[in-house]
Amino acid sequence: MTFLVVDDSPTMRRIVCNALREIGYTDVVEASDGADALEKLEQGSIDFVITDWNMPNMNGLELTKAIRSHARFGNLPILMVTTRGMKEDVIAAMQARVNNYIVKPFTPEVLREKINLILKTA
Amino acid sequence: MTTNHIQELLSKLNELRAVFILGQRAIPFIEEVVYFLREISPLLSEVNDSLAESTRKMPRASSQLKSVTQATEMATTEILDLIDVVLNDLDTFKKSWAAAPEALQTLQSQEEQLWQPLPESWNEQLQTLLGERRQHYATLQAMLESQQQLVDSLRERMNRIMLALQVQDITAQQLAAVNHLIESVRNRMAQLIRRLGSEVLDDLELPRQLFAEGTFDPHARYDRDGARQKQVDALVDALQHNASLPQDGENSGPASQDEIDSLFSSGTPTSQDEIDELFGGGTPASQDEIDGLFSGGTPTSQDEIDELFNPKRNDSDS
Repeated sequence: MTFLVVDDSPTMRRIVCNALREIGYTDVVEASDGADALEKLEQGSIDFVITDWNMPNMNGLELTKAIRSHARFGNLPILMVTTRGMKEDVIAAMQARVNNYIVKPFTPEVLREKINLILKTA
Repeated sequence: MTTNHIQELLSKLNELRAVFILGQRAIPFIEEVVYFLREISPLLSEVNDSLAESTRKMPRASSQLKSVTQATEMATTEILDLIDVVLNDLDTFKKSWAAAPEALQTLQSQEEQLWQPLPESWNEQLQTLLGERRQHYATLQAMLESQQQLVDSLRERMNRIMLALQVQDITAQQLAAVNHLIESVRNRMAQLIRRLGSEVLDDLELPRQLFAEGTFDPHARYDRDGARQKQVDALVDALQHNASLPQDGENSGPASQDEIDSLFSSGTPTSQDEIDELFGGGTPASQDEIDGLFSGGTPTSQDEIDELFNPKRNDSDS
């Protein structure tokens, strides 16, 4: 299974990638913002998207909407991993049809739990 | 000269008297206003200079915050690199020693087999020796297991350190929010100074935004107790199952841009006319208003009228 990790912070990308490795997912592609992520999605076979919210060029919410409206990868599982934890943020993300939502700082246990939950219901 | 003429003359004299009285009352007031303006003028100039100076310094503060973010990001990258190296070393070490417990068991088993065919007369001595060797093998086995546990524990701790470095991303967003606030305040102050007519800042360009809005979360927090995640989980669950939404949790955070804007403008921005009016640019007072100011006072004495034409110099005037 190939993951696409989208975050403008190189630190966070490394941390998420390492957490994925620790829970057994070694095939990871990285993108620095929403626009970059869309390019990566066009290029390769991505099975799962983990995205931050606040990013330049195209934020995570816009990326989610763009993915959902795309013919080819519109049904990809999307997990939002962000510092934003306000009620209205979660509602907006769910309305944009993310599959689940993690607030930073996260733990690998929570990451594993959410990925399993998404894959189980997908 | 008729009685009417006399009455008109008296009326005019009364008006003239009123003008004198007004002048007499107004002069000290005007003098006070002049003194006040004289005194406040350096203060206003100082405030203006101070505003200009603070406004000038803000881009530097903003730039320093950006430098802090960059420095912490560099340091975090170095730490992450080192963690990667340590994790790789631990993996290599673990792999290289992975077969050791099994090899030790094989060795022990082979040794037991070797000792079996030896003469029974040696048995007592052999049993003692064999017992000691078994003890050594058990010790070695325990050491190997302990080593494996230690390596696993070190890996776990290294991963925890890596996870703790999420603080860099979170503080970077907090600094970006502070920086954005500084830039907003600076821009507002620059506008205010310009509206006050100062040319001090004419040479200053408003700074390019170091942190574009939307690239950071002003409410970013480093909470590790998992309470926020639980709230989010409850909300996600409710939304996924069309259930009623849970009660609001703590929703306080740093000021939003709207809140900052509202601090600086309660509705429409301050116009030049409004500023001018603060400094006395309003409509002149009517005669009635002036009369109102002085009505109810004591009648003007002849001395007061005389003083109008022969003003005494006050010591403080000089």
